[in-house]
Amino acid sequence: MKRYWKLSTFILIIILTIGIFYLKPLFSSNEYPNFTIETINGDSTEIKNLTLRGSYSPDTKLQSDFESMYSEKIFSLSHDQVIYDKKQSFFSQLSYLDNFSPLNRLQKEHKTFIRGKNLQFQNFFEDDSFIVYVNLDQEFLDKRAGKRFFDIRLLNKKTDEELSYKIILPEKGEYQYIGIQKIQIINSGLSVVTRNDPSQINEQDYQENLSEYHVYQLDLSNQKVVTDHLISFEKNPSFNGLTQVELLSETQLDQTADDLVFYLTYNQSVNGTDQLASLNSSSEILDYELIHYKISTNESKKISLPKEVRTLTSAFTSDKNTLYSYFFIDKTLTLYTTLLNKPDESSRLLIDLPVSKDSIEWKSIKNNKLYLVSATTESPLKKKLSIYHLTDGELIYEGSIEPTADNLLTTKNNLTIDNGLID
Amino acid sequence: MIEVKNITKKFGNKKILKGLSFTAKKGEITCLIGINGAGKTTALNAIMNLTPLTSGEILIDGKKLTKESYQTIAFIPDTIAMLSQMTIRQAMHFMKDFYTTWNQERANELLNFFQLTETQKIATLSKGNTAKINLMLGLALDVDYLLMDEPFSGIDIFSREQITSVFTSHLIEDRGVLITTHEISDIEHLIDKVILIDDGIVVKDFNAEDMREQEEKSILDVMREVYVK
Amino acid sequence: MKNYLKLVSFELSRFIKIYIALIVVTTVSQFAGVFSQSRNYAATVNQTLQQESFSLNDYFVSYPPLTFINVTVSGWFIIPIIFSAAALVFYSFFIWYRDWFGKNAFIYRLLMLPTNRINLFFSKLTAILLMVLGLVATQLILIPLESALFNQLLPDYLRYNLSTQTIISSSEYLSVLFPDSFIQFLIYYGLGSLVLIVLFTIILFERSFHLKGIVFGGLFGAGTFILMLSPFIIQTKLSPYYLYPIENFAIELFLGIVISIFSIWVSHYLLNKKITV
Repeated sequence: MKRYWKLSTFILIIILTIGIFYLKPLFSSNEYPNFTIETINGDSTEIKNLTLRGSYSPDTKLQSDFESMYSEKIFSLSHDQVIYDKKQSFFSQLSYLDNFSPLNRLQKEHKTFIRGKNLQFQNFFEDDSFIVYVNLDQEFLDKRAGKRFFDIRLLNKKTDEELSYKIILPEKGEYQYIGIQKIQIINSGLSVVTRNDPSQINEQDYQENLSEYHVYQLDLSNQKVVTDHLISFEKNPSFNGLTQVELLSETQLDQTADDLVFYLTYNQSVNGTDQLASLNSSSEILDYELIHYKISTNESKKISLPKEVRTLTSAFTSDKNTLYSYFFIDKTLTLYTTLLNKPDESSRLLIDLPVSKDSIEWKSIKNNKLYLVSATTESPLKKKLSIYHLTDGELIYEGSIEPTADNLLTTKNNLTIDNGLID
Repeated sequence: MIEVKNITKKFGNKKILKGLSFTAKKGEITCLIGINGAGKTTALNAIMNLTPLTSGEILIDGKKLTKESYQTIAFIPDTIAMLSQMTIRQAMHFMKDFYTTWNQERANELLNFFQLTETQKIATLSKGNTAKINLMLGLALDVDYLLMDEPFSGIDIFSREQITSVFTSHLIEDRGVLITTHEISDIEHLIDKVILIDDGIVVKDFNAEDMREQEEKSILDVMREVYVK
Repeated sequence: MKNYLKLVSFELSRFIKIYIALIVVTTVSQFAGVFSQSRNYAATVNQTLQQESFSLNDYFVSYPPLTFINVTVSGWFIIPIIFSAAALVFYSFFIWYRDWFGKNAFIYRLLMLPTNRINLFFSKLTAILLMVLGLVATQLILIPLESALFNQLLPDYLRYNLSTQTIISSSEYLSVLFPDSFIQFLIYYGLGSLVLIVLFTIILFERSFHLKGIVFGGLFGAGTFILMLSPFIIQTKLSPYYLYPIENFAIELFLGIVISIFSIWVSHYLLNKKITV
């Protein structure tokens, strides 16, 4: 054995070096510091369904506006734990879905049904008895290829029975892309809202974003499309520049909402030869409209908003049957709540925020509450979490996002919160 | 006894051995003779499983070759089978490491006889000295059978004499030696059995002494008969 | 087993001179990069501060800071790594071919050793793998040393103390050589081993059948490649993502192991029955 000392030393060095490299992060907490949400005021149950996404870097200067060489450490923070993306087990990192998608639960509970499905959130509908899955087999289609069809699967959760349907999509025009935006079950009828992009035949087409939104009503028992409504938007006839339409409403897994909100913008028209500029999404918006469409009645109607909020600096978001319109002036937020079923009555709210717009790192409006994460002047590692109830503007929760006590972090280190999810 | 039974071998489309059969006994020096390309080296390689056979069988003491056989049968190829960056000492150390039948005393004895020192690098040796070391690496193994492929090829006359004298020494007696060579003049008087090969088969197989006594022919005479048509 | 170890030791000692040279060249080049980059950076900063009469904070508003990470993506750093990797790839072939070609056909000696011939295969495989891991370990040792030196050479207002983990995960290619988690490490280097095993088998096909052998070897290699990809090929026909990632992983692991074993078995057969000098 003595003769192998060289070989043994060599192997030992290798094992030690690689071993230390992989074991060290388990012991040094500074690599992945712990953060927590401390409740200052309000009921801590308010944050039970909140998950924040943030990143940590050891130095504020490294996290600059420049393409940073340094890779930030991204994590998810909830009321009871911090999970760093990189620290997740290899197998969780392999998953097709990120940790917080509600489809994770579906996948776990109905492994066979979900197998091989297109895991787009908007393709699924779930209630107590059924899971419905709708997919378009080919979103992007070559003109010369065959037809598109809807691939529909139904799972009866109670009997585990599966039904499947294939319904051909009648295409009135030539579309290079059709994507599902939302599926709708109303009065036991299945409707599918899609965005259809017509094929670009000539250069002229590149300039206009001609996306159309369609609602297809499907008859499952006869396996055909009953109606194909093109959602029409009343455009200002005197305007001959670019118009763009966007669906504002977010989808829920229980896709019972009957209302869609569209954001129609009138954009600065570009020179004909400048294709690149026309694809630039930050082309100037000259004016806009908000349009409410009701799926069950196929009615679209402009939403008239109060003048104060009808400016180019306002932002809009829609949650369930409500449209929220708002703007910031210094530290004050002016918010209008419009119920889609009573579009002429908008209620106004003024909220005093702890910071101005520039210091807000993340905001979200959900379930009639405004969630806000803002930077503090104390430390780049400390953020403020505020939750306001939007009926009366009351601050119902105040919390502090900060490193836990056992950390040796300094003010050189930096924390950013850039996203969040509310279940 | 080494038994070669009807071996054939194809290299691509060319048949080198076409049903070669002979035996080599322990305690005898058997010589394979043939012109270049007759298949001598191939036959030796085949015995050592350094090249596969197309058909036929080779038995050593009645058994097929296994890895352990290499402790009882040694092959000295026509080029030295050792790294040239090694010194003689390192080469011997290598052999000692892997072969339980390595006899260091015998190796030293040979080194002395050849007047070589173990600190010399093999790369620096002359052709003659390299051949001697090659021989030593084979002879220092306590094996029953020794195969040698052209041990005299391209060697100067003095080295040849030295090598020849080894053949008469105790280093060779009791062993079975199978040797291929062109230059039979050096060892004609030592050879026990002659196997003449032509075009992949044995054309004549005889005992040298018997041939001398009974037909009064030397090996060279027989060769002339067989090959010169 | 003992013979296997002896052969591993032997194979390593045959390459040790070049191996050490690779390590020395890498070390020298990378330290040279550290010196060069830190000097340049400090000089540039000083020059800019003077010329534009900036304060330090102003400087960092307009210019990004330079950290050791920048050194790791410079030529000083990367080129020796690529060079060493290329050398080892080359040696993966040469470790076999050198025994056949050259004045002294050492392959005779190796094939006549009283040991299982598959030990030749395993010892060469082990030697190459150990050498690769040795270079990996060398780099892991060098990085904190170089990083410390880099920081020492800079004035303290330009320093950033970054951990080895951080430095590695910030560089695209370093994070491939030293993946984040140990399981990924096993997977990457396991795959590398698989490739090496199949490569060796192909080489043995060539050494057994020459020109025909290249064809056999090529087919063998192509076959194993397709087999490894088969779950994905099948899924594009069935429906993409039919298998969950964990299932894909399990199948790939199984295929990898099966292919390795089969490849080793084929090599064993070739070495014993078909190899020729």
